[in-house]
Amino acid sequence: MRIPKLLQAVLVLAGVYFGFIVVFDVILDAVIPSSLLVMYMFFVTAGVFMVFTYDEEGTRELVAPIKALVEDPSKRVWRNIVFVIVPLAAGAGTYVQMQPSFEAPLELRTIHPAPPSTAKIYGKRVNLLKLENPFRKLEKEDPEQFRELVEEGAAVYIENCQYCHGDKLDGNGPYAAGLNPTPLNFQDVGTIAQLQESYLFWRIATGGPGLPKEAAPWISSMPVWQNFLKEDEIWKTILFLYDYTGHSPRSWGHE
Amino acid sequence: MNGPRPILKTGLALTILGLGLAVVALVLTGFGQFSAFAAEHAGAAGEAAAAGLYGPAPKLTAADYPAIAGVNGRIVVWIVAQLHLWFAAFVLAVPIFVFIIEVIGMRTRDKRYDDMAYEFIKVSITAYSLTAVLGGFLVFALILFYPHLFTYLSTIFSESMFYYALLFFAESAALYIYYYGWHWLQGGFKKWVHLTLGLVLNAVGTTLMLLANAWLTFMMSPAGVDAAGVFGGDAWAAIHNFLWNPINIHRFVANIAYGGSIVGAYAAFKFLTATGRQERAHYDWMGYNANFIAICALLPLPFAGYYLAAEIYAYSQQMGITLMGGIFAWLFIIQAVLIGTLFLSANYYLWCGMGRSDGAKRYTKYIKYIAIVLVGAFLVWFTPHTLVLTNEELKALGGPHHKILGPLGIMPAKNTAVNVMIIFTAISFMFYRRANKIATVPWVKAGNAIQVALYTAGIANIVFLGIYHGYFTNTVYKVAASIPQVLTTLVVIAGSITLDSFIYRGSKEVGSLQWGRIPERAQYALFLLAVAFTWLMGLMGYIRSGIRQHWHVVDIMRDASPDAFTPTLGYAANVVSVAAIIFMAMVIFVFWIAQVSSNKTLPAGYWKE
Amino acid sequence: MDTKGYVRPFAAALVVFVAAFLLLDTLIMNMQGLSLIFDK
Repeated sequence: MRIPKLLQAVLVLAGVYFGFIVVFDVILDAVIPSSLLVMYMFFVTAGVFMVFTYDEEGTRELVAPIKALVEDPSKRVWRNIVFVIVPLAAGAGTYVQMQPSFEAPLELRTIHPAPPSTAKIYGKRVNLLKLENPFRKLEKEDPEQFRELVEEGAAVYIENCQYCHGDKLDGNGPYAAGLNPTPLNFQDVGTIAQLQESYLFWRIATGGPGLPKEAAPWISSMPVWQNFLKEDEIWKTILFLYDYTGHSPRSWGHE
Repeated sequence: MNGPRPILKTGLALTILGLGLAVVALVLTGFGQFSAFAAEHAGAAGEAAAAGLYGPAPKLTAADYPAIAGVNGRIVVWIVAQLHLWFAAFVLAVPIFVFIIEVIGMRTRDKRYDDMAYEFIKVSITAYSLTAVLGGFLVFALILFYPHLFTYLSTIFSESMFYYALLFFAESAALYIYYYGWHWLQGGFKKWVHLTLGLVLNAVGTTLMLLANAWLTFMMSPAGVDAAGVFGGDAWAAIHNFLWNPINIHRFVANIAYGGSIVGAYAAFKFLTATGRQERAHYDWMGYNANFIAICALLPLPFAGYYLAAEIYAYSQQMGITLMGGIFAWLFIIQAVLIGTLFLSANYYLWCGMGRSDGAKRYTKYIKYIAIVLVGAFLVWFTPHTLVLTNEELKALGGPHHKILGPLGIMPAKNTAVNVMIIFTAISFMFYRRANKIATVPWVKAGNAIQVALYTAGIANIVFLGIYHGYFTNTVYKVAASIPQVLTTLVVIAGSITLDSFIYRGSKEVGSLQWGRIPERAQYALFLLAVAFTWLMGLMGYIRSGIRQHWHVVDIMRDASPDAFTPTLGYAANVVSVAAIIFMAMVIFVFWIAQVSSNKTLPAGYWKE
Repeated sequence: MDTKGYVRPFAAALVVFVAAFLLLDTLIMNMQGLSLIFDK
């Protein structure tokens, strides 16, 4: 038996919807954000609509049951049922959506705020556009010394940073669970791999209180590390961050 | 009687040609002088600065911004500039493809092309005067509301602004002769004269755009001035600033796509209001061509945009992060959604259009697979880097990082997705072209196999480049790999068209194409294309301007007006939407007025006999 | 499945195209001073 087109469309949409939920929430164990799922489904619906209506025949078949429901005198009972259920369902949906809840409102937080062009770090005004890691050149010039510096950076990291950012640099340290927003995961390709070293230096040195206006609300609990670490310790730690994760800092020079 | 007339006509034609050449010469020598002038100035730059010919950029206070009749100056300038830009984009783009269509008409000697080109230019004539009016309005608004900024810019760009005004005359002259002389300059030599005029028109129009682009890119990436804003005297350095060419390329391509979408909307409007079958067929054909133009220009557009964004990043990391990672990042999600909408509606229009051919049935079974890939790539394309999570989801994920969706949020995933979308749009096109043909060469099967292999290898290469270089190397490789990705897409499309032309050499036609046999829904897809384009341009234009934040001229001239703040996303989107609605209303007026000119009323008994 | 008429030309063309695209990649990356395979 051939499934009617309207039912086909509904089945496809339901299949995709539950497919997303099953794949993300169950198989991959990484829930799909509801805000994103709504957007996804909107365009999946658009796609389904496009495929079902590009020709006259398909369109007629698709809307035939709807037309019949509204126009066909023999479907009177069904029509009345549907015309009662649809407004009720819409009302129920609105009610559920508008119902007050204990959930805190959503927050759009800018995780990578744009850096200022200059910042005051260690009492000096530094130009963040031009600032470079003084040790980076050793990577090619003197690999042995570079390894030593990375080791020293690792020691600084383990002493100071791993409690939050984790010993695997995955943002999952012992204290991470207590923090919101959670510490950054450096293994993620979307974090340090996208940034220049000067950006990391700025973020580490000035910490949460040094965040610019656009990163409001300033709820980051990152300490102001320039009060605790020496300048070269920060640079060495940055070497370690990239070395351990295997990422490379963003750069513009082609070598 | 027959003798002198052709001579007269030829004489007139020659005069026109001479005029056209004179315009070109004027433009060229003008620029020659201009660059000589600039060079001279550059030589004298030190002296000029020493002599204090140019002062530093003024340091303004809130009192320097006149309050006029309680009007918000920023919103006025914003909306008027946006309206001017929409019309200008349309008016500059239409002559480009009108010229190309006219050439096609001349080569094929198919009069339909000539008629269509004429109809396109007819629509742009009213829009042209609106462009000029809005341009004047914009200058007034700038002088009134931002007098110091305007003064500062006009001291630096004094010559180019003067030439701009002159060029505008040349543009008007060329456009009016091109349009009003259309039916007069027909056939043989006269057609050549007309085409030359079209070329002049385009050259002048493009030059106008390049000049205006220089002014606005100067505000983003100032050059030719020192840190205090003192102009060194080298006008060319100020024009040829860092972001000038990236914006030039992006705007040139986008204008064509935009112009195509607007005339597509015009064709759809005429199709829906058409009464006769023939009229419907004509406007269906016109809509198809407009959509074709829009898609052709749309395909390279993401790359031009990527190039521009990469250059902004390269110019200033701060500006780049503000653009893509900071406050404007959410507008990029809207942008992604709108671009996806453009691709989807363009594809939908093609699929609907397959109904014009009786042979399309052979290909319609593949449409659903194209749709699946398009939608899938689209979902990757707009997955945001920063997810909006409820607290419960945050808890379930253990943080804002999502191990699957996170990596989809960065550029390599987007580039891969958009390349795949472009290739599948090309496949839609291929099916459309094949729909009405039956290949007769004996190696059809092998040919199709090679065709499939080309697409498979191309897509595999794009995915390889995207995943390997995007996620397992550094950012230099990541950015560099986007170039072979783009080239792969272009090679696949070019290769596929070439291969098809061999496979369908000497092919049979299934039947004649039934122009006009297309569902009315498809016309709404054309409207959607135009509206989405307009809105997109407005939002992206706001971003381009907005990343200057509290600067008139970045790092040189600070905006001290009370409106120097960066508005919230909702506020900005509302302003742009209002502007878009005003523009749409004006466009409908333009369409209507193009129709009115052909209406005739015969008032019985009104005139004395 | 039609081996001779379809699968064979497909396989042959696929090999050629993949090789050609890799060559293109290498070429473009080299032009930018990089190699196709990343080395730190």
